[in-house]
Amino acid sequence: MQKDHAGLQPIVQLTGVSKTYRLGQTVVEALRTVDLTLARREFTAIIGPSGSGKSTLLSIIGCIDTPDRGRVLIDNIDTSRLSDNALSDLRNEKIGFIFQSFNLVPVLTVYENIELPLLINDTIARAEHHARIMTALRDVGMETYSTNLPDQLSGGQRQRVAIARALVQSPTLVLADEPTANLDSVNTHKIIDLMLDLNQKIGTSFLFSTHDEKLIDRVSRVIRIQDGSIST
Amino acid sequence: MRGLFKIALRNLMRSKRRTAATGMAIALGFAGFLIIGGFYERVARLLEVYTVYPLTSGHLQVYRRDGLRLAQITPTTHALDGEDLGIIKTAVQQMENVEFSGGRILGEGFVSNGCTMVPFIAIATEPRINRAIRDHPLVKRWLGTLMMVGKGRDIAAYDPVIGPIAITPGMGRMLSKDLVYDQVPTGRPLVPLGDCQSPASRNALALDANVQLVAAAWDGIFSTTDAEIVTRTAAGQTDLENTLVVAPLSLLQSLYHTEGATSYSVWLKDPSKLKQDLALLQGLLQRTGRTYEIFQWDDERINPYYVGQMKFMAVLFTFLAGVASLVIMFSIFNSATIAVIERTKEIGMFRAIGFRRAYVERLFVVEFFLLCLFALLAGVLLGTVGALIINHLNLAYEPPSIAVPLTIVIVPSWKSALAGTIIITGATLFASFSVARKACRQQITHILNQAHR
Ligand SMILES: Nc1ncnc2c1ncn2[C@@H]1O[C@H](COP(=O)(O)OP(=O)(O)OP(=O)(O)O)[C@@H](O)[C@H]1O
Ligand SMILES: [Mg+2]
Repeated sequence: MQKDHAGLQPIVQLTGVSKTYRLGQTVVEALRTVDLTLARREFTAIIGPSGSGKSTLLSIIGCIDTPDRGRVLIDNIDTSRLSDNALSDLRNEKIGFIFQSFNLVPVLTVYENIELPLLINDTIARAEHHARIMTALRDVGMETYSTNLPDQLSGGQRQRVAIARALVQSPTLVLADEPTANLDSVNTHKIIDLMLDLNQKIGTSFLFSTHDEKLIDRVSRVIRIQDGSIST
Repeated sequence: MRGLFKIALRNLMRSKRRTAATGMAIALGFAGFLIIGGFYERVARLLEVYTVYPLTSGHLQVYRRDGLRLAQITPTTHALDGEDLGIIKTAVQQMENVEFSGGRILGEGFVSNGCTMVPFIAIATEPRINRAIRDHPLVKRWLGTLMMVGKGRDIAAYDPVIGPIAITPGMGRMLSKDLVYDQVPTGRPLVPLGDCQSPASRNALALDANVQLVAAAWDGIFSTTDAEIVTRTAAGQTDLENTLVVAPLSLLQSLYHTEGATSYSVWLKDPSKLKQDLALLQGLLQRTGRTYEIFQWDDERINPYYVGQMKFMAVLFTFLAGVASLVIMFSIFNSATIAVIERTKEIGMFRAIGFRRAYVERLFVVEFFLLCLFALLAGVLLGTVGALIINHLNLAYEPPSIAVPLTIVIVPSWKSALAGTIIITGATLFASFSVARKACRQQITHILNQAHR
């Protein structure tokens, strides 16, 4: 079993992961026998051109998609053996998601959106919820907006709320698929700063995808992906 | 479960117009259900009360064995004789749930005014039973003016010695008898009819209320008796419109030369115990050593008219209810499908952050359940208002084979409300669940990507 420098189990281990899409006659190999290990507390970027397989890789790591071949271990749990409900619970407890288009629920306030993952989390006591939500709000600097609805916020603010939602149940890993693609360059840097900050402060692993080469120097580890194959 | 209702409610508020449209469809459907059900209830109760009381069927009817089929053909062997009436009466007296009871003759013959003869079908019971039926709260409540006699008083008000009978207006016309007994001045000498073809005899006919009943008596001999038309009766159904005669039992007994009757009717205080009382009476009669047959009032063999009407009503009601349910189900399907399409991305997000399939499905089911609940409440209001308006309008209609016009009255019935609630709620749960389930069965990445495009 591989161990990282802190002597802990890695949070993600992919071995020989492949994913193929068929659209009529054309066969697209989105991932070709990918081996990848992510350590705890790591801040990693996946960089690659459009169509290189970034989203596919993140979906498989995030257990919202399954590989055709290969093994996926999350926190040393073999996900291929899990039922749909067990996978749901695993995602809820261990993984936070940040989406390119924020995906906030428009009818819920900022506070209620952040509360969502807690509603279905049995491992966190109800009494803790409020404190956790407030901490997450403060972490992303949105504490004064708790009663606002998403459409009363700017894009950058919405993504902050989404980050707070991804962090509120203290996941070990946060996955972000092009979290800054819908933001201007000022907001892009603010969001990356924020994620770096939080990575330092709470030690959650971050894995985010981008095709923006300018962001490379800001992260501790870069994974390059091209035609479904990665080079670290 | 926490948060579910909040999210569901907020989502309902999100698309107010669609929520209102779907809610309205459900509410209108339910209101229609209540009104149709209320009308069904009214007609069902009317027919039931009409059959049991004015038609003197009673709740239970006792015949001699094969009497139902043969009492009128071979009365000497198949009708009840005087002894039978005594035996049955004694047995019935031991039953607690009996309100009243007595012999009943169903007989045929002719009524003559001295010039013309028309056939009749007569129903006869004891005057005390006629009185009890006339004053019965159920008759007052459900038949009201329907059974109201035109002129004069009902036959129970007269001394049986004069032979008081009630005839239908149709028969009155055929016999040229406009007057009833009370309208004829006492002591007026009878006018000889003379030549029946002359106008003078017509006038003479119309001067009194006197007729003769002619029939083959049960002993086979032709028999006749005098009778006075004391009032008019509504036939209640078309095939009796020109032929029905209501008479006191003693009058028909003397006409048919018998001390017995065709059957013996028993009216119960609490008709819900019909089955127990049927069994009880069966037991009591078995001990008498004679064989009788007992029928329930809703048995097709003794009241085919009632049973036929109810079957027709049930088919009609089921059909309408089915159409209403289908319309409701389609509108919920439609609304739920749009909601799911609109929120596909949201479903993907919910699933990604760890909501189980069942939870997301429940989110939609609860949303539409709440909508259904509000709509049902609105439907009750609409239905009540609709019923009040319809009842207020006093709409008259003439149902097939009922001779008198009925006013359309909607009688709220908890049964149809319950049936409607169950059907509509079931349709809502089914429609919303199946739509949400279909969305939730898809690959999460598929749902998430679909929304990007
Ligand atoms: N559902 C699908 N059906 C068919 N082909 C797919 C599907 N999803 C992805 N692909 C293909 O797989 C390859 C990898 O796609 P993926 O979305 O992972 O790329 P990406 O690196 O995220 O691209 P982008 O930067 O444009 O988001 C592409 O060639 C794409 O066309
Ligand atoms: Mg992508």
